[in-house]
Amino acid sequence: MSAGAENDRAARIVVVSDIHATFDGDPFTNVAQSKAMDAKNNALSGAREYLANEIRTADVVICPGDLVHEGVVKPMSWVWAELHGIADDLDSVLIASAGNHDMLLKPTGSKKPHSALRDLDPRFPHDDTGCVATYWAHAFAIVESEQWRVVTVNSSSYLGFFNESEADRGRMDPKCLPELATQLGKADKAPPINICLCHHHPQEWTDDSDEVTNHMLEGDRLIDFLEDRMERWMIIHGHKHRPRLDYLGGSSSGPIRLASGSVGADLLGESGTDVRNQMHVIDFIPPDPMRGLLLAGRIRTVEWEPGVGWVDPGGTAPLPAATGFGYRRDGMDLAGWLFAEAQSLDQRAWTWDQIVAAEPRCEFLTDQDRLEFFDGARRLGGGAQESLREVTFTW
Amino acid sequence: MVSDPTSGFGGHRNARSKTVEEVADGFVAPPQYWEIAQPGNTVLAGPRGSGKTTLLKMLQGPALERWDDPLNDRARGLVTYSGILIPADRSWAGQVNSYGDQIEDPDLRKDFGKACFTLHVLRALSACAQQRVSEPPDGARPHDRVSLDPGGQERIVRDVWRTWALTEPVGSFAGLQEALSTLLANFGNLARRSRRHPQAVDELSAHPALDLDLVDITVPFIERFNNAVGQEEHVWAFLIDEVEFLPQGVHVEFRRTMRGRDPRIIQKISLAPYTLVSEELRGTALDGWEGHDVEVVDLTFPEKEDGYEFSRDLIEKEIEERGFTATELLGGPGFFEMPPGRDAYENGSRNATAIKELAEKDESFSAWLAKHKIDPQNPAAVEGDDRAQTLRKAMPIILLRNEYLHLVRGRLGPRTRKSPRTYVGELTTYAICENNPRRLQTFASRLLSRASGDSISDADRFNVLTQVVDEYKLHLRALEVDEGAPDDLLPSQLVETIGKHFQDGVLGEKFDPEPALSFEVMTKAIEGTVLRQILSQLIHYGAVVLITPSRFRLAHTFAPKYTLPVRKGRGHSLKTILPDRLPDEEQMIVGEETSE
Repeated sequence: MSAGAENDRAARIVVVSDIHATFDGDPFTNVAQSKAMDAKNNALSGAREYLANEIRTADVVICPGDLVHEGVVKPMSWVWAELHGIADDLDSVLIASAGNHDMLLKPTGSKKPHSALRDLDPRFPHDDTGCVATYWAHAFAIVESEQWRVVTVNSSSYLGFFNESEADRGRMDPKCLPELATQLGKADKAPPINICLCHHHPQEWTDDSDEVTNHMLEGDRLIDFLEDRMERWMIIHGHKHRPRLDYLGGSSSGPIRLASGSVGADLLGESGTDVRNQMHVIDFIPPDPMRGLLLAGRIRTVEWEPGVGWVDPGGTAPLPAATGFGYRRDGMDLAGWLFAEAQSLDQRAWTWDQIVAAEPRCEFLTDQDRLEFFDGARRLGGGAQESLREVTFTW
Repeated sequence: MVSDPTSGFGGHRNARSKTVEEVADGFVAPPQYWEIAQPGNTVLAGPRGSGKTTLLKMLQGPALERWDDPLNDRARGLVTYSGILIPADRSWAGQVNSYGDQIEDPDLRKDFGKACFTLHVLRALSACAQQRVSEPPDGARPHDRVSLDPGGQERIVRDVWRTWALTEPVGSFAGLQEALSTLLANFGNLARRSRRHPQAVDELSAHPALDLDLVDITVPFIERFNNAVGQEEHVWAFLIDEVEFLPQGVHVEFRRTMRGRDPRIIQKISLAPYTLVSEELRGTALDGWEGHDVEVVDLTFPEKEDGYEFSRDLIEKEIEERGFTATELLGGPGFFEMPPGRDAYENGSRNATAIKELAEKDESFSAWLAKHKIDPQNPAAVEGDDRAQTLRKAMPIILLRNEYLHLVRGRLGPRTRKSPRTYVGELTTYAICENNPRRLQTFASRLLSRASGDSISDADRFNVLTQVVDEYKLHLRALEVDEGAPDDLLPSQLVETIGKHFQDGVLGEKFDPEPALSFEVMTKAIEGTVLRQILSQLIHYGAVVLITPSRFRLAHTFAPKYTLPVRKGRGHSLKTILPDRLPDEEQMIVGEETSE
């Protein structure tokens, strides 16, 4: 994975999610503090080495939660220090969100569910007093610069308190939305890149079974809230361990959603071999309203190979090594456009480079939308070689 | 079917897993390369490690672009065709077989295997076409590259994709390749499903890939390509590795289909040598070709001296970065080699000394000398034909008996040599390795890793040789044989039995100037038996060497293990060695004993 195109980059965000660290190598994790020095067998140490050597620079490092596995406190300080190390190496800031595994589910004595996070130094979820206060008081915090804004939402804020069943899911505290609206409204001018960070997925996702409803309850309100705003948003969450890139909401201005892969969870048995440990680097381009690209860019993904390190993903990975996002167009419509273009130029075969030259926004199609585009070409009697990204029509 | 112990002896050196660039970087052309490279149909026969895959890979344009050698221009002058490597090795053949095993109907299974192979050939053809129209690597002098714009590609592909059983249009050679990969994957899935779903059998039976005729569908592609680039008569060579591993019947049909149908298509195929052993296998392997324009090239060196120059070049390539010459690495010429320019039997020579010493302790040898009127104190007096028929023929046995036998309480008995000089030396090493590249490279690299500083002792050489020979023999256990094979016929045990039998002839109580060192069996007499299967395995592995279709010897690699000279020797009937394991029919024995 190269550092990506630099000349049209407005901001870069690195996503390091679901680390699930233990101290001595629980079989359910690829991150053991005791192997901190072994970058080929410790996915977090490996991530730090990889990002420093290959990515080199970023604006924000994001961690959507689950720093540790099942509430084990011991490795949490080390994980937090490593995340700060990654951010320092990339000359960026670190912003996190609390995951369900980071909360103490059986608080005793003077400990609260989130005491381990509250005890961290530098402070969690971002080393700023105002942030810390609003995050624990209102279940969200805002960190922003001229180019970007990250709202970190605490979808684990109900865990460990009065109702044990809250441990099985996340929850969007609806009371925080008016406050969030107020806070967002205070800015003179919204930055072009807006990220909503949380741990749980904001709507039900039942790919495993209909019993898996551990999403963020009332997350639909968050989606509606973001969809209704003038600026475009991307939601980045963890928890599922299954990477996914799509659009939420009911309109073309709904938030883009990146469900991040997990850095450390041992996925064998949980998801079989079709899901790998992945992390992502998002490069946002400057907004281009005249071309409908208000929030668009490219996502690079790498996957963890134990004993080797972070490598480009193979064909089975849920997210490919490179994909775009932000250009929303029906695949059939796009195929129809290309078919007409092909006929007018009497050119049946189109490489991906030729397609992008004819319509540069195609670079910002998601991988899924690109496949829809290929299917559209097939419906028109054409063919597509998906790995080559080549489309051929016949007439 | 023979097994594939790829993890076996020197398996990591198999060219199958190497890129064209890696193969070209280490390539040393054996004399057979220049025959194989000729623009005609060729069959390459050789055991494992003899370089079949390497030689086929070196007939491709990118390999010649990469090969940095003074002989490069000569090779380019011969390779005037486009080499299309079809990796029809056992890995994919096994895959096809495993898919095919899901199909109950034998006719459908055969058609399925043929279709899979045809699709593989088409994919290789597409890859070759794509490579020909692309730019060579930076700095490489192009070979067999042509100029064809994307529109030209699209026009060729547009005309053929439907006839290649593809279901949607394709616009480039690379696209063809990918579409064929997808088709092959789907085809395999269909075969797997067919055991569980009857409708999948119907779908498979009706699949258009089953109707593909290789010549019918490749010729239009080749013709269009040739015309588009202005090379109307250009020849394309299908390079098919280890053709015997193709699904049953496929390669016969393939050759029948291809033979003589179009002058723009030639074939070069590699075979395991055992296919030449029996009428049954020979018929299968070469059916449809014999009597036609085909050159059969043997990759072994029946006369070991013929391979020495190649072996030396190969070793020197292997060690060029270590600053050794082959002689420095392997030692002098070797125990069995006579220094040129002097009478090898003059007084004081090694031969004369050995004759004198052996005559003093070996009564049967003394008797043999007396019978031939040879004075052990003056063997140089025997000259001309007399010397050739007596001493020269017997000398390797005299040397070995003198080295490995001594008197113990008045009786001649075996003597253990901790660090014998017998099997070290450059030329002896080449002979022991049968001039086989993989064996030579394995030996050289082991020896180098043992070398401390810039010196290597004979003790190092012998220890490494012993280790390599033991390891080579150990890998015989990995050869796949029928479950019911009796213990005494298992490959390792069979080699042991034959080796000990020959050893008895060399070091036995009675001096035999020309003991049996090869064995004979009419393969027709053992057709269909476990013995024939194991013999085939041993030949393919290179542990047994084919001298004629009915005469064989152990590889010289076993010479140090059984104290044998590195020569063919006289032939014994295999029935003499394995009296209980061969049928009684006298006609199976070619002759009681055959002289070299």
